[in-house]
Amino acid sequence: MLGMQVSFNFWDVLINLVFSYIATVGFALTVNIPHRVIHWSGICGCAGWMVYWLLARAEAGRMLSNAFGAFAVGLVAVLLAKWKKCPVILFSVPGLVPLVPGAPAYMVVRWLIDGEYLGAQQMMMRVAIVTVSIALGFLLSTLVQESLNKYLRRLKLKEKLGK
Amino acid sequence: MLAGGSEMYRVEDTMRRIAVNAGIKEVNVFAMPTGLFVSLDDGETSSVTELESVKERSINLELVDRVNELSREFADKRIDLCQLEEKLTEVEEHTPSFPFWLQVIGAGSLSATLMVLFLDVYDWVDFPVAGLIGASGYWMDAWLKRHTKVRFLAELIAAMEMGLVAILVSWLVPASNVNNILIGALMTLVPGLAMTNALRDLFMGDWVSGIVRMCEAVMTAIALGGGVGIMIRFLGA
Repeated sequence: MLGMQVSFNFWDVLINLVFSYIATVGFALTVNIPHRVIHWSGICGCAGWMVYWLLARAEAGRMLSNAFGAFAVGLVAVLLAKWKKCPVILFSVPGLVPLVPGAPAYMVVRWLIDGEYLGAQQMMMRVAIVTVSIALGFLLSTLVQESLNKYLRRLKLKEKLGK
Repeated sequence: MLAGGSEMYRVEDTMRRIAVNAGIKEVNVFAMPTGLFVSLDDGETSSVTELESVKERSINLELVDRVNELSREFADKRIDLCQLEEKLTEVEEHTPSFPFWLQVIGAGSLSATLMVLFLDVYDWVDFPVAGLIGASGYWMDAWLKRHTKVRFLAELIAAMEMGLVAILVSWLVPASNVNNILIGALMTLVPGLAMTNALRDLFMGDWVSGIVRMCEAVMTAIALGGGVGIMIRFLGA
């Protein structure tokens, strides 16, 4: 992973940025997100996808790139939630959408229909691994959230004592 | 709040806070995706226990945000208990939501763009088709949900419709690819998110809720896969 080389052109990056933003906002519309944060949830999804995409391009492996992508989503969501003063899931639910393993999940069904159970099993494993690594990455970001909360509380306490 | 798809610990936390701010000494809250128990004790005379069941669940983030906002205001003593109750009922009845056509367009753009992202190929033939089918599937799903009480039936039939249209399109336009179209289009209904949410509930120690949500996600996935599978098998693609 270290010393990795990423090769991409400008066009690729642009398409990925714009499309991940649109996809996140599209999902945000279907889950009825509050109007004032719809733009920011799009940016949250965009950040997560770009981290995932760059790591996947650098051949960091499926698990690692998904976990880091979810971690980025969680981190951005926590910061945005602190700033905008609203629940974290407003950002994290749409933000995780681009990372969902949709393509392998469909391939499971496709292979089951064609009667190729070995291929289907392999894909099912892939879906499971991706799902678990997303959850783990997100779990790591809640660690940041907790420590941030503790830090802020201590800051407030100091202010009170200072007075 | 439960109906809006919030996390379990947030529901319990909010209720506890409201009760403590209302001056009640001992509060016990136990929340599950299908219902919730609250037990209040003022320390002197008697304790009250209430049970509320939750029938319908979907993700509605606006609702979660509003309730959160109200409990915050109550904690800051900007509104009193009566006002809180009034406003909560109001929020519950008239949650401001996006117009339905906008949601359908959202679903369409979501499935078109996600298809390109997932496949990492710039497949411009299938791009608009996936968008249209995704939007129509979302519309179908929402329409059926209004008319039937059986769970997962709407998903099953919407998936069948998507499969049917995708195969018809692939007959008309030979350059298109049924698999690519369906990967994009199905993303509007896929429960990938419910799965991740379920795992997160499990990590937070909400066992019942995690297992219930996981079961829901798996059942939805089976309904979707089954619907598409039936169509592909029938028409042979």
